[in-house]
Amino acid sequence: MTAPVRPWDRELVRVGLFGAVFAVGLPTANGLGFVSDYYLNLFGKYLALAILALGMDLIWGYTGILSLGQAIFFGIGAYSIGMHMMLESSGKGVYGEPVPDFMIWNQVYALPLFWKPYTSAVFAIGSSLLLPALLATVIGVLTFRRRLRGTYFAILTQAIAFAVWLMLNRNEMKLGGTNGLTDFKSVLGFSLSSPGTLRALYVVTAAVLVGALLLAQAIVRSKTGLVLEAIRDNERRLEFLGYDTAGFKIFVFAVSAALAGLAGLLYAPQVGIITPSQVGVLPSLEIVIWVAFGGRGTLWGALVGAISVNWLRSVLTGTYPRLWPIILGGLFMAVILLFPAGLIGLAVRAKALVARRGRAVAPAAVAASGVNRHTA
Amino acid sequence: MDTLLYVENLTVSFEGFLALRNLNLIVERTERVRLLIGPNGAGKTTLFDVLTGHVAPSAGRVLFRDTVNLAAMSPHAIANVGVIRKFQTPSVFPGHTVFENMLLSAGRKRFVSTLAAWRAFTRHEAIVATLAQMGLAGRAGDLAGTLSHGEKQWLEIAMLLVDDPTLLLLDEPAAGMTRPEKERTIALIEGIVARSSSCVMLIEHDMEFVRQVARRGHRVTVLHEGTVLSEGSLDRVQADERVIEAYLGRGKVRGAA
Repeated sequence: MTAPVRPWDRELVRVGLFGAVFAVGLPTANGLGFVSDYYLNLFGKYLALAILALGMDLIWGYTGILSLGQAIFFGIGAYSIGMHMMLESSGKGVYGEPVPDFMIWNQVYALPLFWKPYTSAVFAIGSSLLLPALLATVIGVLTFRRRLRGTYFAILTQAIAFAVWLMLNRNEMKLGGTNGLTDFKSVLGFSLSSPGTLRALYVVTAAVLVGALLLAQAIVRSKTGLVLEAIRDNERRLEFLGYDTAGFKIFVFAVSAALAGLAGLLYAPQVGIITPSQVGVLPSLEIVIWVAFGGRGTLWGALVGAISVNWLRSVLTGTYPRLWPIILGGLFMAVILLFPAGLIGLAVRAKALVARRGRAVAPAAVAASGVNRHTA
Repeated sequence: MDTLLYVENLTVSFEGFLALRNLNLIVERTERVRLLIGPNGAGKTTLFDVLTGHVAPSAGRVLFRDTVNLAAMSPHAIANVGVIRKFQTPSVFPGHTVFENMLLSAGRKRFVSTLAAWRAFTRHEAIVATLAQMGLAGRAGDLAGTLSHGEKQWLEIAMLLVDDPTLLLLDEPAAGMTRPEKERTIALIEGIVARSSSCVMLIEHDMEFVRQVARRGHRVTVLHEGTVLSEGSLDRVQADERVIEAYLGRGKVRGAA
């Protein structure tokens, strides 16, 4: 007997198809002139946010831990690369000073100490991945080791998100205050005003998303993945089998934080701005909505949710900007009340319905014979 | 020296209510099955809660194999020294297949070794053998949530058995089962005794079930109001005046005798 372990092969085909369409097909279509640079850039933004949603799905969808602070980690990634890009273009600003322009407005003429390492691209990229993972590990050790769970964890992470948002808004933090970091000129030496750079950023984002998806798929198919889902379904049984669940929860929190940081790293150069409004409580909640809308605990649901909701936002904020928060809230309520398994769940149900239609004749005959037996 | 479990003056207080009071209990290593009976609220499940680290005692000592102080350990650490329990209601992972439930139960449980194992799922032979022993070989690929109540109980026992525990605590393994399922559970417990070296401690309310298990001469301990009322062979405890007194009005011991 072979072990009925979760299979890979069909999943690899799906990931391959996804990669072919988004990492190869779309940029090729752009090169041939079928897709405008504007749309390619827009999709680059969606794909970066999809990485953020993947991390959320790992911790919330698979492990059942609601983290309402994922935007903090996204922010760390975005601000890390943002600081590097500001320093890359410093000296080229309006004032020609060796510090970013916004610091001049705040009468800061020497580069603050914590900014200095960000002149190195390697440090900036490393900090956008490792700093979120490190922060998540610290929060995880302080909470999961003390058996703080459920709503308490959600509220704690939300409180941290609020605190980070408040801090970032202050000019004294020397991170641009409410205006955030913007006016990036180049990234890793490539000018951001050139369409070629943006195209390359798109391809990198799509490739990284495919990599992140493969990593997440590998995690949920490993023994660790089995444990994560078991934490969601019956944590008590797991503890009484001999598992210290805290280590697993810290791990998944750190992985989800690193993915969020990665998303921020890819997002900031493509969008050209990062402000505190993308780092607080509301954006953290929005990530939950993407994953719920797409279908939690499926990974593909996270991708579909992040891309579709953000696409909807781009379309609707253009025409009905005031209605957007109401529509977003309505989407969330619709998911909870009408289709709790999300878009992926709807697709699965539709597929089952079609399959049943095809076999409808056979069960009808069985039912009829059953009726006959009872009446006979 | 030959003591598997040594419980001395164990007291558990829930905000003043004494669930266990000065309970003393010794289980020898040579014993294979110990039955725990007693009216509702006698403290049987609370005793299991203390043995598995779920509830901290207010006083008393709990020693496993003479040296391991269970009262100071967390549930996962206790499970790793070989004291493992089945819950009163079947407690499996409904979203995992039967085989995955077994994979989760087999092998090392530490985070680092689990992560290092990655997709190398170990102990297949032991899993297949245990599933066959519990009559679940044909359901390996099914989701545990789709099993019947009785099958879930057997799966949970299989999960505990796969790593050869030293002390297996079964809390009402036959609860909610049909008569044929109970017969089968009795046969399975006898199979555990015959095939492994585990000692089984068993809580049960169904006196017919208790009598069938105890006919092999296993000792029965009667708990009442948090302490040991009587102990010995089933015939002896059933003849004990104090046991009859405790059960009076419930008719269980008399009815079954």
